[in-house]
Order: sequence, then structure tokens, then C-alpha cells
Amino acid sequence: MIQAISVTGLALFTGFTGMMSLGHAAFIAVGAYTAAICTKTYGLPFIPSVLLAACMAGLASLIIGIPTLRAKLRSDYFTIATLGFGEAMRVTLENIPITNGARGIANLTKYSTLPVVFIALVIVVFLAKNFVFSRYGRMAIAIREDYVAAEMAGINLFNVRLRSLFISAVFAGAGGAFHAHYICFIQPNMFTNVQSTMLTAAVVAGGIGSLTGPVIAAILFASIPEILRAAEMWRLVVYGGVLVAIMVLRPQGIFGYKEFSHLFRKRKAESTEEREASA
Amino acid sequence: MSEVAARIENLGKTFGGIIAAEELDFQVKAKDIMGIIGPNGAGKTTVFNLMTGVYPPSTGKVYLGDEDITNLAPDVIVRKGIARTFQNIRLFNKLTVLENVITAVDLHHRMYTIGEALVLNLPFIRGKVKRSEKELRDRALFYLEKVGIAHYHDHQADSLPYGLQRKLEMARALALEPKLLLLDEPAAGMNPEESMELARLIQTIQADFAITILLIEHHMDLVMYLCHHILVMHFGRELAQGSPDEIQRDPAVRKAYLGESWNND
Repeated sequence: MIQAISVTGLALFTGFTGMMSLGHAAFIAVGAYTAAICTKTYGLPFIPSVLLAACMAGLASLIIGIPTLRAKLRSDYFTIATLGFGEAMRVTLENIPITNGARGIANLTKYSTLPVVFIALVIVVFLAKNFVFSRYGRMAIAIREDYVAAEMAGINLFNVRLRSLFISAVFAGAGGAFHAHYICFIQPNMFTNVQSTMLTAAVVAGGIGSLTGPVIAAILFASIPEILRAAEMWRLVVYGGVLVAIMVLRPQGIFGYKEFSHLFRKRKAESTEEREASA
Repeated sequence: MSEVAARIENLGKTFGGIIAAEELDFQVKAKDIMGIIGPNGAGKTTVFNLMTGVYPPSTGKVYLGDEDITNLAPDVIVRKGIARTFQNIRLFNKLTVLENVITAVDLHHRMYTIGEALVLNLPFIRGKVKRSEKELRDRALFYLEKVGIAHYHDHQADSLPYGLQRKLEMARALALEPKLLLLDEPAAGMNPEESMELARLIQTIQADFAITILLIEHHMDLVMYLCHHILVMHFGRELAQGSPDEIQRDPAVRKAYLGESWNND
């Protein structure tokens, strides 16, 4: 469920803006460390720490986003840039004093209880939904569909992409903050590119262009290894198998381009049509 | 006497060693329908790309009215009043027909900020965001009605048949409220009947919105019927310019482009 918060962030960026990022673990890491340092070193309450963590992750996204997106890097080059950024962030965390280096920060208070995380997830999904179904989401989707045409529709590619990346990083950062206060211990090794890849896998398996899908996929993916704990060493193999099966059977993802709420929207559209017809 | 909507001065573009366009000079008169014709690879689309800022010109200037718009970014140029369609249709495929147009309407009718979008759009409450979205929908529907595809508004853009996708692209371009509309082969893939129907639509649009239109087209009957002024391009250069009558009589044009068969009459 904690992962779902970060995945929602990535879903906005990859699923709706059409840019692939393999560095989102960096934003999670920034969020996790910021929150951990806030609560532990400075004794701040949890909620302000989470907000601060989200802001820091947002700032970090500007550091990578402004130069790469301004240069209008094509999506695959951009992806490689994020890969490098993720790695650079991890190494940085290992080497600056405030993060306690590779040893990490231990003995955090466990604030991330189930209700807290659930409420946070609802808020994040609510915000993400509003983003997607607004003019901002529409512009992002337009860019995903055809960036040349989007530009010719007067959309500034740089602004919209950076905005998506920023929001996405903010959510990832919040996710990181919750993660840190769930595990109660963080170290740079937890935020490798493998972590980023898992996030991307959840988004793709859940369905590009959907919010419901990635959230469900994230919860599913987090629970599969736990459910399969009995299978011991084979569980990760099964996990990989599930991923492959999803991609083969449903290349568009579990919820490709669809939302849970679409059913409802369709019905509404039909009723307006009827009204128009009768008018 | 009449105003100039756009002016091209000594425009040129080279890609590596290849000259795509050079020494082009022409004016588009305001409220006119002007045509660019020429064989494939003559550099017609390059001219559009240079005018809309897809890439910067190697030489020369582009003016919209009196304003120099050379080297501006595409989205800035759109804001200043040039909209275009594409030779190979470029729609936002996974959006609905209506949403495609809303994306464009949005340019001049931005009605809420991102903060309002994120926080104020609560379920079951008709707030500012929902009201603005409704207004955007209505405005977009107006453009769809203009090109005659309003009843498809709920369809996904890529599910439309080819001809209607072209019309949708025109609706989207119109929704940007341009002063100058560039149409890149609007009748491509249409039979003579369909293309004449399109010609009438283009005339209606020109009159109703009082805009200037510059179009690239291969259907000669459409061009001759529609355009007041024609530029003929050949190997990136201007071959001739003039009224449809002048172009049809021009010996160089006949020889290089229209073929000897035009001698018959």
C-alpha cells in the first residue's frame, strides 16, 4: 500500500505523460531520508515531515528535470538520464554525513500504521485523479499521444512534462517518507535501480494511462512475494512469471487506458445524450 | 491595398547537404486562400514546418502580420495565431474527439489553475473546475459542429474513419483561434467528389471565421477552385506565382509539373 503511493506518482508521469523514468527510487530515497532526518534528528512531528519530504523530492525532480527536459531529450535518452540520476542519488546518500552514510538511519518511530497509510493513499489518489481529469492531465496525455501535434496545439512541452515530473516526484517522496517510518530503518541500499524498475513494472503491468491499474498492481506486487513466502526461494521466480504472464496476456496492462470510474462516466455520457436528443 | 497576413523573406533550409528550400519569397494576403503546389519532395511541407517553428530556418525570415516570428518556439507561434494540420494526420488518438478539440480550446480559455484543479474538484459538488470543463466542452462542440462531426464527440479519435479524422484535425486547429490556418494536404486520399465537398467546407470556414488560409494540395481541381493565389514549388525553389489562370498558362509550370496534357485546351 505504501508502494502504491509512489506508484501513483510514477503512473502520472509514465502513464499519462508518456515518459519512462528509471530513477524514481531517487525521489523515494530523498523523501525517506528527509522525513527520517526531520523526525529523528530534529524531532518534528510526522505529518509536517512527510510534507517536507514531498517538497524535497519535488525539488530533486527539478534538478534532474530542468536540464533534461529543457534539452527535449527523446524519451529513451531521458530514461537513461534518470537511470544515472537514480544511481548518483544513491551514491550521494552513501557519502554525505547527514544521512549517516551506508550505515543508514535506524530506530525510527513507526508512524506508518495501516489507517494512516490508507488515508494517505486515498488523498494521493484523489489528487492524482483530479490532475488527470483536468486540463493539466489532458495536456499531459496530448503530449503522450503526439508531442508534435501537442506543441502545435500551443502546449509547452517543457512546462507540462516538468509539472508531471514534479508532481510525480512529490508523491514518490511522500511514499518514501511513509516507507521509512514503516520499516523504521533506512539505508541507501534500499533505493537502488531495482526499486525503480519494480515501480515501472507496476505501472506498466497495471496499465499505461490508468490510475486504478497501477495502484492495484502495486498492492498486488507487494503482496505476491509475501503470499508466496511458503514457496521460499521459488517465490521470486513465480513473481517474475506473473509479470511475464500479464505482459503476454494483456500487453496493455491490467487496466490499460481504463479506470474503475469509467463505467460510471459512460453511463453519465449516455444520459446527457438522451437529454440532448429529447431537447 | 489589402493587408498582409504573413510574409516570407528569402526563406531557406538545408539538412546536411540537402537543400530542402531556398530563396523563397511570398506574401499571404489577409482573408485570402492561397495554395502551395509542387511535386512530391518540392519542399512544401518544409515551408509549413519553418513557418510553425518545427525547426529553425537556415536563412530568411517569417513574419506574421508585421511581427517577426522567425526562431520562436512552436507553442509561442501558435499563441500568436498560426495553426496547422498535418499531412499524415496527428491526433491525440486515445482521447475522445471532443477532448482533442478541448485541448486546443484550452489555449485561449484557461479557466482554472492547477491548485484549483487538484484540490477543489470534489466529488458530487459542481465547483469551478466542473463548470469550466463544461464551458470548454460547449466551445469545443461548436467547432465540431462547424466541420460536421459533432455527433462523434464521444468516440475515441483513432476510431474515426480517415476522412473524419482530417476534419477533426481541422476542428482542433480552428479551436486554436488562428489568424492564419495552414492545411497540409487536407484532401489527401479523397475522391474528387469528397475533395470538392471539402473545398466548400474550407470556403465556409474561411468566411465564417474570417481567417487566412494557406494550403498544400495535390488535387488540382480543388486548388484551382479554391485558391486566389498559388505558389508553385520545384526542388525547394519557387517556380511560379500567380492566380490560378496565370499558373495554368505558365509554360514553366506546365513543363515541370502539370505535364504536357494541360496543353489540350
